[in-house]
Amino acid sequence: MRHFYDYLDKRVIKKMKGKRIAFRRVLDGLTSGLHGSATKGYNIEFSQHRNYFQGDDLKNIDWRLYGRREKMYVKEYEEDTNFKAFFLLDVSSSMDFGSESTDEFLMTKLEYSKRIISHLAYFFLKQKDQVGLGFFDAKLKEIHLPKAGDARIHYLIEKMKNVTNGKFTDFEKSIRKLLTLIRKRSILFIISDFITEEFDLFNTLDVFQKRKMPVIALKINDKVEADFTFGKYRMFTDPESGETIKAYPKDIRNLYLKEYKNHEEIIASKCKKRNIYYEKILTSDYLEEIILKILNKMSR
Amino acid sequence: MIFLNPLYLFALIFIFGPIIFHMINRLKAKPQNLPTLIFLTNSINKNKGRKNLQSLFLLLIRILIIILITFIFAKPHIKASNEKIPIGSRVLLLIDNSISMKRIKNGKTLISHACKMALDLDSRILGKSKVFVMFLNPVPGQKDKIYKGVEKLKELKEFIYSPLNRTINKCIIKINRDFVKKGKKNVIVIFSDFQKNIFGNKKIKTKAKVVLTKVNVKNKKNIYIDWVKINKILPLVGKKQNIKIKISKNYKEDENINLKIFFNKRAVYGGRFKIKNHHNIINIQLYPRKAGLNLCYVKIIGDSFKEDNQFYFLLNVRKSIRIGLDTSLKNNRFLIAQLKAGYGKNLVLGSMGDGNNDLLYRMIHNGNQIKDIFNNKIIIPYVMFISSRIQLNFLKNGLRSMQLYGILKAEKKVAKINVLKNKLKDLDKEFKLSFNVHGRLYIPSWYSSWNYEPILLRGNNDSLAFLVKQNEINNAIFLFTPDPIETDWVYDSTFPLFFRTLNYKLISQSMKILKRKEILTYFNLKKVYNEKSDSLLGIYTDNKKYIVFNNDPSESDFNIMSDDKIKNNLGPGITFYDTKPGYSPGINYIAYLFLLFFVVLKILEIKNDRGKSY
Repeated sequence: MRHFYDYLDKRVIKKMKGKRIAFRRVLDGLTSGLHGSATKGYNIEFSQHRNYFQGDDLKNIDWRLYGRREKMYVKEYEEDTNFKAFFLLDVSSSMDFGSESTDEFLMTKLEYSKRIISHLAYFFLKQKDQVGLGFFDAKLKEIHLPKAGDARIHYLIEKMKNVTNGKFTDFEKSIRKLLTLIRKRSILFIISDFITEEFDLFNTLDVFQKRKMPVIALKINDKVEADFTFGKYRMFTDPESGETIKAYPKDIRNLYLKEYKNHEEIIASKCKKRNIYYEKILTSDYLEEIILKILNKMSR
Repeated sequence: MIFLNPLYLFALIFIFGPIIFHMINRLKAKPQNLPTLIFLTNSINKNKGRKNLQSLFLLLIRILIIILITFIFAKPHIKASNEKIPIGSRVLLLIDNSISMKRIKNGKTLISHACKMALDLDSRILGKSKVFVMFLNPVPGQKDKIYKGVEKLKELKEFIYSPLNRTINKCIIKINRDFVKKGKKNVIVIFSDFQKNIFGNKKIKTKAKVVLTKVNVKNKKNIYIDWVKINKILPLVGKKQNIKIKISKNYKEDENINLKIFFNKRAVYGGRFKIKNHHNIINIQLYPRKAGLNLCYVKIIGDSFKEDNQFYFLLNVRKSIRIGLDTSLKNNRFLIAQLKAGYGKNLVLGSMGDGNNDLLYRMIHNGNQIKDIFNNKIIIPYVMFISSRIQLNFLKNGLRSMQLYGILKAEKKVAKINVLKNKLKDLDKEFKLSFNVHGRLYIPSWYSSWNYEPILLRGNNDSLAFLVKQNEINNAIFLFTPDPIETDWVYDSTFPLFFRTLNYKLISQSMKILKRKEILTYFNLKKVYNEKSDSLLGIYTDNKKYIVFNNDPSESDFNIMSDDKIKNNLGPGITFYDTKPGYSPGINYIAYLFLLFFVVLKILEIKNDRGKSY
């Protein structure tokens, strides 16, 4: 409980209470639970054995089989919930940006993203769903495979708290790596500012589509990134590349906004083409509104 | 290059303003992280060099604008080229000191400008050149000579104006004789406004190089009426008479004025009047009921006039003595009629100038008509100032042998002349004046039939006054024809006499005898200046406010010759150089143009920035 309320807001939790999501898309089976699924768990009916990997819960090891074969196997069961949400969070240095505002508390994009993940994870875990988490910047940094359980949220928050910022972003590389690790059908949440000029990542996401794994792209931006309301003469620095530009914001505002909108439109169109749910989020938006919006969208 | 207002150059300090502003901007760029900068970097980097250049260019424009504005206020002038005067030449600076040079330009008279230009030129003449100065007309009270060096220019100021109209041609004759030396580089630089007839009838002939420098002022909008003239000067008592009033102006634009004419404080004319031409004639009717001096004045209210702008005239309505204020006397029949009627036995021509000379000429010309009129003498003071034009008229009309200075002798009259000479010697001691009695006017055709004695007197009106005092002139008609060209020194001598003599004669009839002192006390004289042209309007008395004269049209008509006409007056081998030996303000016009250019550029720059300049 140490970090529990660092990223979770009681108000938002209260609003989420009693909410249930019936996914538009049928995942695997509707055998039990809210989202009948053929995914493996440890609950009711035995499904199969698989090799033990480091990190697996020791209680799932089939000790009898170990006795016979002298090799550790883990028992897998048919699950009730069957829903796996996997959050892929961009922790590049561009995400560590928050506008300096005195009249309102604006957190960095990364902090805001962590809160979104926390709330959604909390919600899914409450529904007995499994939640996984991965961080990426130039490569896939950490990965915590989807698991269920009440204590899972503490684990995820702890991990998010300790994650460090990387330098630049490489979407494609990270997602390709992720593909090798998430084989079961899951819902993939990609939380990033999507600041890239290479849109190959969407081609990679096609694989998710083929595997019938829905993708939800949450584009996080700061308010000033969206409207470019800077004051006097500035020396702008790109935290990823370290490039600088000295300019009067009013001089370059029009050009910037044009490019920004253009970029947004490209992402939106690419998402639409692949049936990816795409949501633009500003860090100045109310968290509860965003969370509920996502959940409502998913429940449609 | 010099600056007329060098103090404004201190404003150049403000140049540091944009520089500091620029530097501060460069230094104080607030660091700002912006992850989305990648959107801009590509497009901006392409234009980064251009943008830097633009910013430097902007700085340059700002600095230039400040410099230009400062320059415009500081009035930079560039020295004109001085190739016209070769090294080691003898340079004669011929300054036109006629009255027309008294016009005002930028608060200074044209002659001051001419003197300044001449001094400027002198400071820039290179090598071992020798500089001389001469005035177009002889300076009153000074010898007519060529002065060595330019010191004379520094000494002389306003009083160097001359009422004469000596032509350049006439001057050149003197210069050829006294100045031009063979084998030397002779240069004559003429500073003049080049009025009409300044060259005379002949073209300039000289072996010296002639450089003409035009000093002129264009004051078309400086509207003022410079003279008002009543052409019929002697109304008769008890008889209604038409009088023409001429109003003149020295500009070409029309102006509506309200005109009121008063005769003895009674309005005789009033209405709106448009001044169109140089001469505007208004007909009014006068009904003089009393003899003696009648006050007539013209009140003019116009855009360029103050309400109290009044021109006063003294109309003498009297049977016995006629006093005319007319100058030109183109129609002198009236005068002749008066003379015939025997109002005066002697004719005394007061003052000098074209008017009198014209009259003299006419009298001589029409001598048969008037030869019976004069009983005794014609006394002409100041004949020395008879202008060349009049002399030419004399010569044209068969008086070839006559020079007003060089007079033929008549043996019979020598004795009388000697008597006069002796008298004038006494006067010389008293007034410290130089007299030179030359002799009688020789008129070959009909001189012998005259029974009066014309005396040509060189001196001033004090000598005339002396003669009046000595009862040399009795029962005379005094005709004074004051010109506008006289400067203070002329008024000082002429008009006191005018009043003295005039009133002596007028008042003596009624009061028998009045002593001079009393007359002077009675007429406490004061001078009146025209506010706009700074010329003397006349003299009036404190208690009576009689303004006795106005400007003469012949001199106020400042007709400046065009360059072509000037060229026509130049003899063979002489070219017209319209040089500006002083400083040319041309640089200012260039500055204005550049300023305009930069402002337009700046506006375009701003517009561009507001758009998508990247």
